[in-house]
Parts: sequence; structure tokens; C-alpha cells
Amino acid sequence: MARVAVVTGSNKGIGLAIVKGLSKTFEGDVFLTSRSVERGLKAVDKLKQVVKKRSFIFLIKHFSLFLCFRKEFK
Amino acid sequence: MKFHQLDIDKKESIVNLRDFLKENYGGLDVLINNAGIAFKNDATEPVGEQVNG
Repeated sequence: MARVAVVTGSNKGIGLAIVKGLSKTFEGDVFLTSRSVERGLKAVDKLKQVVKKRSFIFLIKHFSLFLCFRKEFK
Repeated sequence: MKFHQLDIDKKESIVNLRDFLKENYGGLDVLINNAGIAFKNDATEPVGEQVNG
């Protein structure tokens, strides 16, 4: 069964930052929880966008590195 | 990253999350007990606004 972490009151502030950090290091599901469904879902959407952007930049960086190396060895 | 509603002031909400976790994960591995309200004494907005922000 998958491991699970829950952060209470995490739609903003320190809680949100903890979710952000945990989602990078924790092997399992991380739950962002809040009183308001609307604010909670909004926070999840926002964080997911940040993660997407981060991995996109990572991809671009490494792809350009790969291109550089290929040029060198040709 | 996933979302679940939780109001630590409402028993029903707590039981709801507990049952969900029990059923889907068989328990809880990590809990960060972060929820709470710190009132800012010198803030200009009313208390109700600070709570619901």
C-alpha cells in the first residue's frame, strides 16, 4: 500500500511550503488539506503548475547540455 | 499531490478524512499538525477577515 502524508491547514503559508517540500522528497502521496475546498483546490493547482514549470526548465537545461556535448564529440 | 477537505474544528470532517485514509492507505504515515490561527495584533483587517483569508 502507498505511503501517505497529511499536512493540516496547508492551503497557504508554512503549511503550503511544507507540502511543497514533502512532495519533492516524500515517497508516497502528500495531502494538502484545508477547511475550504475552493481555497484548497486552488492551492493544489498552483503548486502543480510550479512543479510543471520546474520540470520543464530542467528538461530544457539538460537537452541543451546534451546538444552541446554532441557537438563536441562529433 | 492531492487534496482533501479537513476542518480540525469539526469532528465530522476529521472522521471523514480518517475513514478515507483507512480505506485507501490502511493508515497514516506522516502527519504535519500545522493548522491553526495566529492573530496579528497590529493588522488593520478585522479578526473575521484574518480567519477566513
